[in-house]
Amino acid sequence: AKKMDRISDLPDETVCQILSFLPTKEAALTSVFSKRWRNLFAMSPNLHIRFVEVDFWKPKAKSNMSFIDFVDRVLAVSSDSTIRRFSMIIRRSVEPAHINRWMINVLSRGILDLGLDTLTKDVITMPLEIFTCKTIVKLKLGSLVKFAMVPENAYLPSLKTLFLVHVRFSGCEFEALLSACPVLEELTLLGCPWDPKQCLTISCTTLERLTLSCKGTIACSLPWSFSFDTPRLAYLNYRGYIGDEYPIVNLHSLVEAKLSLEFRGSPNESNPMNLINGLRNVEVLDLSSLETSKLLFSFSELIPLFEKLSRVSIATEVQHACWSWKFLPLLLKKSPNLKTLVIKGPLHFYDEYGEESEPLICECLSEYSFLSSCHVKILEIIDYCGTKGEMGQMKKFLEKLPCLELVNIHASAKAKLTFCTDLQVLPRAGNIQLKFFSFQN
Amino acid sequence: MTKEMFTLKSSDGFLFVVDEAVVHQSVTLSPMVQDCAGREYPINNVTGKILNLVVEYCKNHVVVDGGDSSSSSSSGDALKKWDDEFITQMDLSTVYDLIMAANYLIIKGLFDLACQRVADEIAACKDHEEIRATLGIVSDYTAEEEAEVLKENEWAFD
Repeated sequence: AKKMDRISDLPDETVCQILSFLPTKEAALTSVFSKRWRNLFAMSPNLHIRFVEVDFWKPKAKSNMSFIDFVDRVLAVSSDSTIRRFSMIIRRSVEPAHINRWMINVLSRGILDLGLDTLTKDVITMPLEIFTCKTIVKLKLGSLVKFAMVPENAYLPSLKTLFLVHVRFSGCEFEALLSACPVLEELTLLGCPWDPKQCLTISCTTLERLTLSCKGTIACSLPWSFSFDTPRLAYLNYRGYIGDEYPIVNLHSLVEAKLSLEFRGSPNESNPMNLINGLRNVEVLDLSSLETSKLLFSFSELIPLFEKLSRVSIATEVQHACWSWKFLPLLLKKSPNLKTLVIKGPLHFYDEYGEESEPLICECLSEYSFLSSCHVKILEIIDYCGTKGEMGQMKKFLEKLPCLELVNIHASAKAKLTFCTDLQVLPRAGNIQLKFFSFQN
Repeated sequence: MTKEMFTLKSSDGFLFVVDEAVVHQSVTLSPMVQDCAGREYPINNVTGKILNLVVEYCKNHVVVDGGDSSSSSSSGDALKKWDDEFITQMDLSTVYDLIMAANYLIIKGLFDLACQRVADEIAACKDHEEIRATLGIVSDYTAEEEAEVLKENEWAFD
């Protein structure tokens, strides 16, 4: 039986809404249905355009041309209507001039959410219109994008979220851009190449969430120092090479920090005193990278009292995980109010044959006396295998932690099948609960 | 303290008794909370069959939407699962009716959910012929006009 065409009863606006849930290329297929449908797909308030596929049989130039014509046409046909969300993903070579033209068009149409994700050969310089867009709330840009001179009248009164991947700034354009964003709440900077002679200063009174990844493939494209002047910041995710200095660290409101830091050159070159001290008010700390434990251990004398720290995660590894275990006693000593301890990784060393290897962890922890003064209530073990050494560790934890109430054990893929029953028979105080979570890949 | 109840009447005469939390999910119905307690409120362009589904959706969304913004991710997942099952089990014809009802009553979550369902149906088709067959649309293009459309959106049809 032929299907009844119920969709034609819906008003144009509603059909546009439906089409706005589809990538624009897919939605465009509806243009061939009937006269009414010819341009409906282009009137959608959300446009998602992907130009990614590589079709080896088609001449490159031709498909590039038809793509450019398509986008030009879509933007022209809908010229009066509002565009709320515009996202463009390009993996083929499209000249920056075209992309600029599209950006300028979209920026003047009430845009709220703009995303440009390109890997084109040529660097795209953002048009000036981007600095004075009154409506934009979320902006995501990358890669090989460059910010032109930030003009004097730069002002982005609605921008709350800024996400930049491999975006190049020179001089003080970054600081100028931040000053133009009076309500910015969330900032993400991934792999942006910075001027090596600079101090990267992130100064924003409204910022609440910051993700900064400063690894770089070439050490010289990293700034030598960082300043965090962000009094309202509640969440910090900071990865990469540690700077030489941290002139300003204003993190009074920080609640949660996730750190994955390592030395760039020699430890003597770094002075992270302000940074480490600036973290002293956090409640949740995620140190789940080995390098971070190593780095913090080497600055033992700088570790402040983490009075509010309630939950901490550290990582261990199969071999040579000494740093995390060496750091653990100090960390626990400095965290008098810690409630939850999460250990990601095996509790004991073993080599590829499952054999315990030297040096033993037990040497790092000596008599485990540090556990007796730790008031942790919840212990979480991620990636538990059930080796003999790990069982020994678990026994110590259960014995020595005076306030322990709950242990959550997440099995590793390599866990012995009997690990649940093995753990259940360990001697422990009656009120310690053990919960088991099977491996999930 | 007893909850205030409101009676909604569908176009074909079915009555649905709901509480304030359900009514407030509809921007159109929300003002009636002031005036209509105890009286029947007619909803003239929604049948009983569809109004039943609307009420079911709203009842299920009361607990989460009315709660604080820090609802746990697991309850959010459970709600999403319920939404998926709710909308997937319907045939397209019912989904269209639901779209029109949610549009009139201005219930954004339900409107988006139903629109997404139709969009998913379109996305599952492998080409425009299949979409046309699924939606049952009859073309009013001449052959020349159709060729024109295929050319002007060439990139999409490749």
